[in-house]
Amino acid sequence: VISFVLDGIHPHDVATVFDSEGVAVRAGHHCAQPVMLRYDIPATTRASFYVYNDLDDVDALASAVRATQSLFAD
Amino acid sequence: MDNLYRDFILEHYKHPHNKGTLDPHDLHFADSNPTCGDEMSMTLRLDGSRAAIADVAFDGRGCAISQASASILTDGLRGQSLDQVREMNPKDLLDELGVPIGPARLKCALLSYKVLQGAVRGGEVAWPAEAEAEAVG
Repeated sequence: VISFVLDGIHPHDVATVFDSEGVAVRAGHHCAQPVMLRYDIPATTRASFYVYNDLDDVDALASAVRATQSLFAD
Repeated sequence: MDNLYRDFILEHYKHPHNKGTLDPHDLHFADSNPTCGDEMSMTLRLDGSRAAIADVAFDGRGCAISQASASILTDGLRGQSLDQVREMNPKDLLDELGVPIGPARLKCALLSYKVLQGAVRGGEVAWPAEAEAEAVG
């Protein structure tokens, strides 16, 4: 399970763009608000892997990260 | 790319209009959307008649939808009477955003409306029914 934030992009925006790229992730507090306060972040995006995921899915995730960053680039 | 993030929304998010705090101001309200952590405050200045809006600013942090919505909403407020603002239909704001807002993001889109209503009504108002709708657009 990997929780992450992309600089300057709200995790809910990240999740929505990932969704449009065919990548399903969870975004939010994950019932861990004290951790969000500790790191001064509104939420995180969280990707988890299971038995049906393969390397192509990892590539799709990486490609969704790049697509999101380029969409929000100034 | 995703419909929700067409240039119009992204432009308002990256370069928001009316961002900041008016000091001094006549009306002020702040609220948040606890499920996503979006925070927003609005300050308004009234004109000489005390019944219409002379100037407005919003501040806060949150997702692109909530920030763009506040930028677009506040753009149309100068010169509006307080009565007009109180009778504003939240659906008009959703229409103005011009993109389909899914059920998961309706509260992002309507937080600015809720904060504005809190300011012109002098206290917190409930989420508009549109925020609970199944889907819009």
